[in-house]
Amino acid sequence: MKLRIITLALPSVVALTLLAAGGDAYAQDASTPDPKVAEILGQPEASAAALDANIIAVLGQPGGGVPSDAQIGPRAADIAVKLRCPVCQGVSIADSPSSMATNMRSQVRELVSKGYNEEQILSYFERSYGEFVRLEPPAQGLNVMLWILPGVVLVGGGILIFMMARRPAGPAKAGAPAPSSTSGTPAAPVDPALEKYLEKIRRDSGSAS
Amino acid sequence: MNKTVMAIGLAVTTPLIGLLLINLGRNPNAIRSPLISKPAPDVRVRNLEGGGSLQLSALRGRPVVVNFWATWCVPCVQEHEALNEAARRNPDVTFMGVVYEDTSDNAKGFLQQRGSAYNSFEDTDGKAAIAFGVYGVPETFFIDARGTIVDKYVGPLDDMTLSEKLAAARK
Repeated sequence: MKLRIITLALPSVVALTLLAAGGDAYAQDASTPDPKVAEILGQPEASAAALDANIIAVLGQPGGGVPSDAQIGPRAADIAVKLRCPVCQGVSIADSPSSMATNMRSQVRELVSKGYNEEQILSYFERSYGEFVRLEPPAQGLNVMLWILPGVVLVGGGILIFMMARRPAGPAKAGAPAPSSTSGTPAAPVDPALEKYLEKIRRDSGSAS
Repeated sequence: MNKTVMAIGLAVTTPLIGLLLINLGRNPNAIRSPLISKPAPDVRVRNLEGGGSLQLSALRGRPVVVNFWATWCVPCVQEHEALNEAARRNPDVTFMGVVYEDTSDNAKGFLQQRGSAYNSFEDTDGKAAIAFGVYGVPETFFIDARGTIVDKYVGPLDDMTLSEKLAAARK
């Protein structure tokens, strides 16, 4: 009888234990990961050079010499102002306190210290974020318009204004005559109906002065 | 009003207004990743639990799902179970989480509480995030067996989207 109770109770005990262990069973998932990942993680650590596999793959060898410690800071700062902070609104990574920008600045610094030149470093970020990451888009393709158009509009507008200012007012538009104030003689043809009033004004002002 | 001036004004403003209207619905931050159909960046990330690190190129030969996440990110918490489920159902695909701008203690605590069917990794100095052009979390990259990024998904993943993108990574 006792044995029977135990045999009856056993499954529920097992079930309860399993339930209680349920949370742990989940957590255990993490320790039994992808066998491929486990295999890689079990291998000895790669050398420090392998840490930069991605940089080498993307940029190849540094394009410049290794700078001195004093040169690294200013060079990195020059490049930082040309990179857009991806998580900000139109701000360079030099001007942003965000952790994204901080990480990008330290990456720039590291690349500078390895001897990569400005163009290489900008292209490294461009590969992952696109041309958007450059605050100064390069003058290529359609971008040329960005650089030329403002100048064209400025010069064109200037010429237009100059020409309009020089052009004498057309007879159709000359509703109001513009008498020249420098001398007493009228510069433009005057509406005959207004001639006598104009004459009176000239006389009055002449006697007053 | 001079008709010529009117015509020039319309010729200039109409296309501009049209362009504005067409793009009004677009998210200015949703820029298509330049990495799609390019080789995945060969980043190196540290195993979050226990030691060891992983060079992404070591996984070549099988599809990989790289999910950038953080414990402070609500959509990441939402999608976590869908990713777990997909990792359990697709043993031929390697799923990996990369912790983005969060402490490893937070991340470990979260995974212990919620469980995880795949490994998560630390990204020292955010280098992996930069190499993948991550703007925020969650962002998930689908990489095929040749190591090419086939798709990027921004926002929380659900079962449907996941299986769709996984199919693309398997091709």
